[in-house]
Amino acid sequence: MEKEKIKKIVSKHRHEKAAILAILHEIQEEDKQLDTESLSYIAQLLKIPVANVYGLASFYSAFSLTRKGGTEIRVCAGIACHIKGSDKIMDAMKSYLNIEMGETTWDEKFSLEKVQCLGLCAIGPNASFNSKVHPHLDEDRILEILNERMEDSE
Amino acid sequence: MKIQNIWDLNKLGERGIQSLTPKRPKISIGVSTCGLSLGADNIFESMNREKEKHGLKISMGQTGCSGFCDLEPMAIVRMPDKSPLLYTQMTEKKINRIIQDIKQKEITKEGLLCKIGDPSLSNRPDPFLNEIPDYQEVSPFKDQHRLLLGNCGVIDPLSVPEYVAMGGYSALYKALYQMSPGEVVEEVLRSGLRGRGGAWFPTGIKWDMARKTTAEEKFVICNADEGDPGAYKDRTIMEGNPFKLFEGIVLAGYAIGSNLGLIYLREEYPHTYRFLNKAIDIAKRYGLLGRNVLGSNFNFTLKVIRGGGSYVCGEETALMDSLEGELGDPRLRPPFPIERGLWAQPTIVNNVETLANVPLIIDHGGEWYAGIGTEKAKGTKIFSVIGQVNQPGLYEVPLGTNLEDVIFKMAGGPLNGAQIKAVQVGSPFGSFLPREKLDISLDPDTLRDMGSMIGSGVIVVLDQDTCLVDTLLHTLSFFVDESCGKCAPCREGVFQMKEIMRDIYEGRASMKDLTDLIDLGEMIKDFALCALGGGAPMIILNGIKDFRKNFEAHITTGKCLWSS
Repeated sequence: MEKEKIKKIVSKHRHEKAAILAILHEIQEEDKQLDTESLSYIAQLLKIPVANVYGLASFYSAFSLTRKGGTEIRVCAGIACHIKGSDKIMDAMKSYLNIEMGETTWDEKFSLEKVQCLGLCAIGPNASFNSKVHPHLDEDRILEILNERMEDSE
Repeated sequence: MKIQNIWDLNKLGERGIQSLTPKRPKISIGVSTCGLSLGADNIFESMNREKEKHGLKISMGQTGCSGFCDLEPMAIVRMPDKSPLLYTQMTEKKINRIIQDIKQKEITKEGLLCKIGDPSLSNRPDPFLNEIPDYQEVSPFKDQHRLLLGNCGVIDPLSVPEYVAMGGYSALYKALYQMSPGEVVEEVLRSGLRGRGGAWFPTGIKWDMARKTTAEEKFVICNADEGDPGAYKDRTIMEGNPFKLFEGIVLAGYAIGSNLGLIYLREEYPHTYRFLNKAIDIAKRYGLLGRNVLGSNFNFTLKVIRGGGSYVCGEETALMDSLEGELGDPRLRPPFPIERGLWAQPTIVNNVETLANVPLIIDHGGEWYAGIGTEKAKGTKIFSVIGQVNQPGLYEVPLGTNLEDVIFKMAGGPLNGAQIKAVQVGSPFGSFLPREKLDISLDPDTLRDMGSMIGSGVIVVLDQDTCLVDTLLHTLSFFVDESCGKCAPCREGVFQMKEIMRDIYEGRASMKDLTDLIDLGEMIKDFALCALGGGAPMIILNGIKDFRKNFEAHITTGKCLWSS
C-alpha cells in the first residue's frame, strides 16, 4: 500500500502500538494483503522492530501476506458444518476455482480459505463471500453461486 | 436525549411501550447475521414495494434472532390491540400475503408460529387470538427459561426505548443511585453466578478482589471472542439485545471502580462489529455510556476491539496480550488479571453471557437468582444444540436440567428418528458421551465429575451413521491449527496425536499405535502450559474409553463400520 495511506491510518490511531491489530485490519481490508514494504513502514512509524509486525501478521489468521481475491470466500469448518459435509463444499470450490485452500486465483478474483466457525451452526454448511453469508450449502448450490459470481465479475 | 433521572427513564419506557404496541400495523423482520444470510434484506425491500403499491400505512421495524436461525427470517406482526404474532421462515411471497391480509383485517395462518402474549403489553386480548398458541406453549420455546434470550427476536435491538420498556436499565439506575459498589458486588456474590465462558469461576469473588485492589486505573474486559466452534450464544445476545450486555458491563465497571470497558470481539463476526459500534453510538446519545451515566457522577467509556482470528485469544491472558497489540500467548498465572492484567492494571475478564446476567441479579436480587439452578450452579445457561437434531438452536434452561430432556423433548431428538451414537457436551473440549450416559444433569460439576466439562455450552449430537473417529480427528485438527506454539507438549504432542489419529482413520495404524496415542495423551494432559493444550487430549482419551470398538474397527478393517 502507498506510504501516504498507511501514514494516514497509523495517525488515525495516534501512533499507538496497542492499536496495531486495528491498523493491520484496516490496511488488509483496503489492500487485500499485508506486503513486506507495508509491514516495514508500519514498524518504522510505530517505532517497533519489523519482526514484531511480521510476527503479528503471520500469527493471526485474519491477515494475509499474499494478496487475497476481490471475493474472499471463507468456508466454515466448524463442527456442525463438518458433520453436514463442509469437506465436500471445500472440495467442490477447490476444483471449480482450481486452487487449494489458502490460495488466490491467478486473476485475483477469488481467494479461498477455511474459517473455524461462522457462528451460524443451525443453518450450515455455510460459506461467506466477503460479508455475505450463504447458508444451507450443498455441492449444486455452491456451483450455482460461483457461476453467478463469475458472471458478475466478468 | 440524555437520560438524567428516573422520570426521563420512565418517559423513555412509555415511548418503548408505544412502539411495541403501535397504533398502526407494524412488521419487524429479523436482521441478525442469520436473517440477513437467509434473505431478510430482500424481504424488507419487497415489503416496502408492496405497502407503497397498496398505499397501506404499515410501519416497518427490525429485530434480532431468537437463537433458532433455521426459522429465520422471522417476522413479528403487531396490530393495534392485539398480541404480537410471530411468523417464521418468511419469503417475499409470504410477507406479501401478510400485507394483503392486514388490509382485509385478517390474520394469515401460513408460517404463523405463535403469539407473544406478554400481559403487560396486551391489556385487551382479542378473543380471536385464543386459538393461537402462546410463545411459552410452542416448540422450540416451550420449557425454556429465557431470562437472557427472552427479548432477542422480539424487541428492536437498537431501540433503547423498547429495551427500557422491557425493564432495561432499571438495574443500572438502582445501582448508581441506591447502591454502593460494595453492595453491587455483594448481590453478585449472593447470586452464586459463575463465569459462562467455560471456566465457571465465581464472578462475585473475581469482582470482590478487583474492587478491593487499589490502582490508578482498572479495566473491564468483555470476552466476546466466542471461539468454540458451534457456539453462537454471545453473537445472539450482542445482535439481539446489545443494551442488556452494555448494562451488565457498566454495572461491572461501577462495582470494581473502572471507567473503561473493552469488548474483545472475534474477527469472524464482521456484521456484529458494525452493529455493536452502532449500538454504542446510540447508548452514548441517551447518556447510557460516556460522562455522567444516567445523570450520575459515574463515567464509563466502552469500545469494541476486533481480534485477529485466533482461538487461543479467548483465553483471558492471551486476550489481554492481543489487546496490547502482541501475539496471543497465554501467560503463566499467577499473577492473575485482577492483580496484574491489561497494561499491568487490575482487570476483570467476563464472558458476554455472564455480564448479561448481571442486570437480572441487580433487578431481582441475588437471592432470587440463587433460587434458579442447582445447589452449586445458579441461574440459567444457554446451550447451543447442534448437529443431527431436528430443531438445532439455542436453548436457555436452568442449570441442572436433564440432558435427555434438552435433546429429546426440546430439540426434537435426532434427525429422521435415527439412533444417537454420541453427544458431546462442552465442545470442543468436552468428551463424547455414549447414549447410555445421557441421563445426566447439565451443570459444570456433574460433567467435571464425569471427567469431562460443560465448557461454554455447545452440545453436538451425532447419530449412529456418523463416524466418530472422523469427528475426533476433525476436532484434533482444530486444536493443532489453533495451538499458539509456545509449549512443546501442545505444539508437537497434539500434532503427533493428530498424525496417529489420521493413520487410525485411514486404516494404516496398529493396536500399538492406539496404546501410543493414549500414552502421548496422558503426557500432554499433564505438561501442557494452558487449558488448550491440556484439554486437547481429553476427547481422545475419553473417546477411546467409551468408543473403543470404533477405533478398533478402523484399525482392523481399515474403515468405519458405522459410517455410511
